[in-house]
Amino acid sequence: MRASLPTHDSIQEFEGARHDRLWDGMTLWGYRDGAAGAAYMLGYSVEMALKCAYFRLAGLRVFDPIARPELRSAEARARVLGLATQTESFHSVQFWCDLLCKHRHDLLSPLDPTLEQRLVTETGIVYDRWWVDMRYKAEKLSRNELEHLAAAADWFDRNYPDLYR
Amino acid sequence: MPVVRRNPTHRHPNHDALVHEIVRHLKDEPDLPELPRIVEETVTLSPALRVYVLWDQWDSVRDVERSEIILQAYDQARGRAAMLQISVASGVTPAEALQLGMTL
Repeated sequence: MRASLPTHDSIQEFEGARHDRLWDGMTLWGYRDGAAGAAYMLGYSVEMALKCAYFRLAGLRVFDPIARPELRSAEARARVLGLATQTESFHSVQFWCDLLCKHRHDLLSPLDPTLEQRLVTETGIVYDRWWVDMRYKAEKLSRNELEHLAAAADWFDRNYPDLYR
Repeated sequence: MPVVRRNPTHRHPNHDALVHEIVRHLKDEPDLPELPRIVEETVTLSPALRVYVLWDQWDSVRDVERSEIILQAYDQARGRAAMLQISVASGVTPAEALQLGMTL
C-alpha cells in the first residue's frame, strides 16, 4: 500500500482527498457516535478546497508538487500582500481564505462580492468549529455545531470551482 | 557563554538592503556583483514562474523571509502582476544549492 502511494502532494492528490474526506465526513455524520470523526473529515475537506483553489489561482498545474517551497512562497506572498493571518502550520482555513481573496483582488480579478461575502462567512463557521489538532483531542462538537460545519462543507463542495475560476 | 535571545518573527536587520540589492539586479543596473544570481524558470502550460536566487547573503536569513525578500523585490522592480505570477520564490546559498544538487 505504502509503495503505491504518490511520492508528493499535488492539487490532484488534494482534490481527491477533498472529495473523499467530504463523503467520509457525511457518512460518519449519520452514525450515532460518529460526530468527532465527521467534524474532523468535514473540516479537512474544506482545508483542501481552499488550498487547492489558492494553488490553482497561483498557477500550479494539477500534478505539480506542493512541498515546502510552494507553502513557504504562499506564506511569503501573504506577508508581501499585507496579511497578518497566521498559517497555523498551513492548516488554517482562515489563512487560505484571506490569501485567496487578497490574491484575487490584487490580480484585479476579485470574486463576485456576494460570493466573496459568503466565502468569508462559511470560512468563519469552519474556523470556529475545526482545527487540525482536533485529531489529538477528545473534544466533541454539539449536534447543532456539527450541522453548521456540515452545511459549510457542503457549500464549499458546491462552489469549489468558482473560487479559482 | 552569553544567552542569545532570538525573536523568530522579527525581520532580519538587513531585510531592506537585501530587497534593494535584488531590485538592482532585476533592473540590470551597472557594476553588479556576480551574486545574487537570479534564475527564472518558466512553467509549461502555465503563466507561473519559479524564481530561484542563489546568494551567500542568505546564510542568516530564515527560509520564509528569503521568499518574502524575493517577492518584495519583484513587486518593487516589476510590479504587482509580475510578483503574483511567481509560484515559487526560493533563496539558497551556494552551499545549500550544492547540497540539494541544484544547478543555478
